[in-house]
Amino acid sequence: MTQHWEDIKNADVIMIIGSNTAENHPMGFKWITEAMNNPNRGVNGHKGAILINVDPRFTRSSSKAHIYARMRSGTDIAFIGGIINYALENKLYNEKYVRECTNALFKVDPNFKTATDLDGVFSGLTGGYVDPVIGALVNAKYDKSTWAYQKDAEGRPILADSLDDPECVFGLLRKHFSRYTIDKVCAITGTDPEVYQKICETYCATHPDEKSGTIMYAMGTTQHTYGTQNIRAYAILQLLMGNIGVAGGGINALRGQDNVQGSTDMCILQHILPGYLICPTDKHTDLSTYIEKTGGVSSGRGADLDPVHDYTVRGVEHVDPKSARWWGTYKGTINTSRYIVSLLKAWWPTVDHNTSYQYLPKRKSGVDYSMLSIFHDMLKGKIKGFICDGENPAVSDPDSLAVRAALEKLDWMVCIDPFETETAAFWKRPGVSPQNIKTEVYLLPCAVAYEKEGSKSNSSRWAQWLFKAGDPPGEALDDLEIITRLGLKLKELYSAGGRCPEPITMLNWPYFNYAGERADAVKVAKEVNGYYLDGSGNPGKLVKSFTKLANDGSTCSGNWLYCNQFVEEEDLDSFEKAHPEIFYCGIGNRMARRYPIDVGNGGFDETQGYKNIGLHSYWSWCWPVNRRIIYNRASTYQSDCLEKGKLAGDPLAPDKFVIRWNETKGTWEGDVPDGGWKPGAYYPFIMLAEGHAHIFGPGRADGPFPEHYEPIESPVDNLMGSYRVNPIVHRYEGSLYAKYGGKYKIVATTYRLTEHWHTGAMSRNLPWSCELQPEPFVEMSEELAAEKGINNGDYVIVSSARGSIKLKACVTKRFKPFNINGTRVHQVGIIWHWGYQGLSTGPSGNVLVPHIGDANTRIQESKAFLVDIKKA
Amino acid sequence: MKANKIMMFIDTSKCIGCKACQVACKQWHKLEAEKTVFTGSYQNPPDLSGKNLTVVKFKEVETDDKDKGNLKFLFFKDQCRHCDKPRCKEACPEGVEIDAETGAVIFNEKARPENCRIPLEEACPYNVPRLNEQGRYVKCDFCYDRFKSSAKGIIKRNGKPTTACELTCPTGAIVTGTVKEIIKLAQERLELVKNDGHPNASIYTDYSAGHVIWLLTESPEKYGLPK
Repeated sequence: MTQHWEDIKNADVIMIIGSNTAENHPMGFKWITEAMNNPNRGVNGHKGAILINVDPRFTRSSSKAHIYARMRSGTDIAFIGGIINYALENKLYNEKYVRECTNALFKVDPNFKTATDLDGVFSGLTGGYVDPVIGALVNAKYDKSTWAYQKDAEGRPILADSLDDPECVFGLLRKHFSRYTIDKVCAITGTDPEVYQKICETYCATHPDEKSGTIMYAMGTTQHTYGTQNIRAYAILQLLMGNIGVAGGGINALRGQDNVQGSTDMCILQHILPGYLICPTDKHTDLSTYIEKTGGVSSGRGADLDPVHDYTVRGVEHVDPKSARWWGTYKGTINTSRYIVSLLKAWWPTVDHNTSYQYLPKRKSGVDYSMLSIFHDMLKGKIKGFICDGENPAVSDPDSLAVRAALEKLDWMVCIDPFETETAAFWKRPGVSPQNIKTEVYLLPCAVAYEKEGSKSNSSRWAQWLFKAGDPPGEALDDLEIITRLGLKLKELYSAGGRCPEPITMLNWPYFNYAGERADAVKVAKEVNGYYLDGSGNPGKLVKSFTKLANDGSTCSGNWLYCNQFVEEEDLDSFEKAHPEIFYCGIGNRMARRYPIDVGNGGFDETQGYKNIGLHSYWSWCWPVNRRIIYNRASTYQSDCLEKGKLAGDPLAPDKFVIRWNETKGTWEGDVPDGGWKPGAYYPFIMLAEGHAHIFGPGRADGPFPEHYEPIESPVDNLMGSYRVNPIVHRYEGSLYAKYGGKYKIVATTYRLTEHWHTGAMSRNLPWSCELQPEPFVEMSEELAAEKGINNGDYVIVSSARGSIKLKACVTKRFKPFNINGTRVHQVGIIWHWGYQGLSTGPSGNVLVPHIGDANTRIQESKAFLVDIKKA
Repeated sequence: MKANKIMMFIDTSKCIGCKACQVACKQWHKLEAEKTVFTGSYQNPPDLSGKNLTVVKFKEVETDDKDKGNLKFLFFKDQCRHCDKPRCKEACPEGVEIDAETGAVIFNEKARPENCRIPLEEACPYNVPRLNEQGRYVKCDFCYDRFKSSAKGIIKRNGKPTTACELTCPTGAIVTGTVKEIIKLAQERLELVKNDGHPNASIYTDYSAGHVIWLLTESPEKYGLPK
């Protein structure tokens, strides 16, 4: 989240889209309840925040909404694009915010063409082919050279004088979304136009300074072949409304489990290193090239990264003195250099960082290493070994039959899990003979969350420290212990020689003494924070903030974003020094702070003017440097506005301000400011080269603006343009997809239940959970059931191009057929928690889901595909 | 008469049907799971039983409100109403007691069919009491033991004791308090909810019948409830 859970209570309008918050985040829902019951929230005279819910199905969340809109799976960009168009046409955007905080006025290369000009694509489309099964262009890419600002002789972006200038970003935005009229949008989404109009009016009422709207989303947004663009659509809408950086605003990803945010921040994904540093490719031949290319002057992020994950921000070489460019060069130093060098020194402290850079594995430029690609290669026999730690791809990954077949090709696999999952047991699953499978499988029993000490980072970015409640049973160990022992054993073996041993043998592993002591999470946390190394003058002392991390090898830090989470006693702030009791363990471990009273940074409280917006600044610690609402400089006036009696640094919304400038004290008060510089000193979006938020976002692979495409498997044509699917999507050779216009005509999506969790590895082993929801089912409308002769509770066969499953039908009023431009389209939803292991077994929904993913991230498209259904 | 006792208010306009209350109740009362099957509803177990003292009932109801999708997904946490004049006590005087501190209606060890004039499921207008495996009638006991001043190690909220379901409910849909506090809260909530898109909202059954009242967003008939 850009915000945090409690901040939801500050919203005047809450839109839940691509999420079923009541179902999957019931505890978080209480903040929505609080906003709805607060008479000071709301718009258009309504007392209490207004809850809007957009979903193909009427859910537990819909039951609490003021406005519910039915929307066909996979049409979010049309839906949000229509609200954007409505805001633009009716002038319901926050003009001051748009002009000062976004790149709306920046002029764009006149050779850039929007999807309105080119009937569904942008300038620079090249390559690809029309796939005979999918029936549309795929595997294409963009030459992004026209996706660039106009620049003057010094390389400075040229700004238009007026938002009406057709060459500026704003003018192009208008042109691009001009096709997204209410009628066109509702023909695509199947939403009732009157309800849709009401949503547009309600949501756009958050554009004034004193109002804010928040968007809460999850997998319904991300798991599409254009999932990244779905989120970009929210970003654009929120920027038009002036809802970023303010209380009750933001773009809020609801994370799926208690520490997935933590694992995301540690960047165990193919393209990033801890702290969202770019994972180097074979083009980054040495450390200085890596630093220049991924964090240098010519970038906000690197200007020359491989096309698979291209973070290019083109042509912003000019260094505007008012742009902090935190991901670039700040005050003469490339920040990335501090972070990557400190990371290298954390891992290999006794090795010069230029040398240890060579120890880092490099991706091959242009090659994708996502889970989709891994399983694709595994099925071809290219992968020999697999360590599967706390993951159950045999149930969670798309095209489950292909996943399970792929596992058979491995020589060996290690599963680390508290229960024997479907993945661990793939070799004896129903329908196969173990004697035909050569894979050697090791199952290492491990602890569950309550049997481990350490921090967990939630959706709010709060890294809360937790003790263990007990030891794991039998031989089970916690994951830290398992990885530590594995690492030390590898060090021992490589010390006898081998191919390229130094990256392993020179690794620092100080967390325990191999002669029997258990690995210590506190030691890991301190290294993640970072400390000064020998020869630095302060050896062993914790670094107090990432601004102090050095690029000369004198500091180490396992993750620069988490620097500041653990400090020496002398570096505590004045509030902490006055209240040492707030640390429930280990003074200095900020993650273990538990001060229950709502105060801001430094103990800023009501008596000083704090409006109790729920910052809870001394409850645990969040990144970065305990800033609870990020981009918060955008919540203030950027310059003096004397007509309104406002000065730079005054909050836009005084009744729920996040930060405000105190002229007498010469400091900000409220939350930790997004850069402590004086008002007006720097543009508010400090991570980007321009310092201005991207309405025009050239960094994505498939467009600087979101464009509606149909899912790969869809029963209808694309009404918005001539390219039916996202042309940048990667179609995996050999994977099975439904033929366009073929026998699979029913739209399907997958989702979860409150009563179970994810692949059911834990919850389907708990009798109480199994009592609450004993079996998987497919939800369908009464109309579809009547057509097929299906009664509520009957067994049905659901089939797709990849396989079929037999499960019970839940015939419900909560699904209704869609009218898509005159065509009746049915949609169903499949509960996917089940598999062949555990106390409660059943078929896996992902058997049906296609092996294809988002054009930027390759996250699987589980939320919109095609099936057929018949009575069993 | 009821002035010093405790009431419970269940606000279905806040309920999200998560069933945490069902599980918290089982945990506090140390009740095992039942084997269930999917019959076409989220409701599970399907009914109150010897192992389930509270069950959330699910109902889909069509409405005229287009803004809300012409549909309501109603959640009703069914349980004992802790009546002022409990019919179960009339049918089984030795087996049913009124707790002095809370006013809750409690079944004791003598609540067995052999001590009852008629089966308690029939005596109760709401069909709440159930037999457990030991041949004894059981039902919600208002967690009366959590309210005892002698209770030790009980987690409280803001210094106040709570029922297990109240403590766990994520949206605050379950609230206990004095009669005065609860009636005031119920009246305020009814007013707000009626004016915020639920004109047919009602208090069920009414303020005076027992210790447990619900705010319904529709008429009791729509929920399938006996009057």
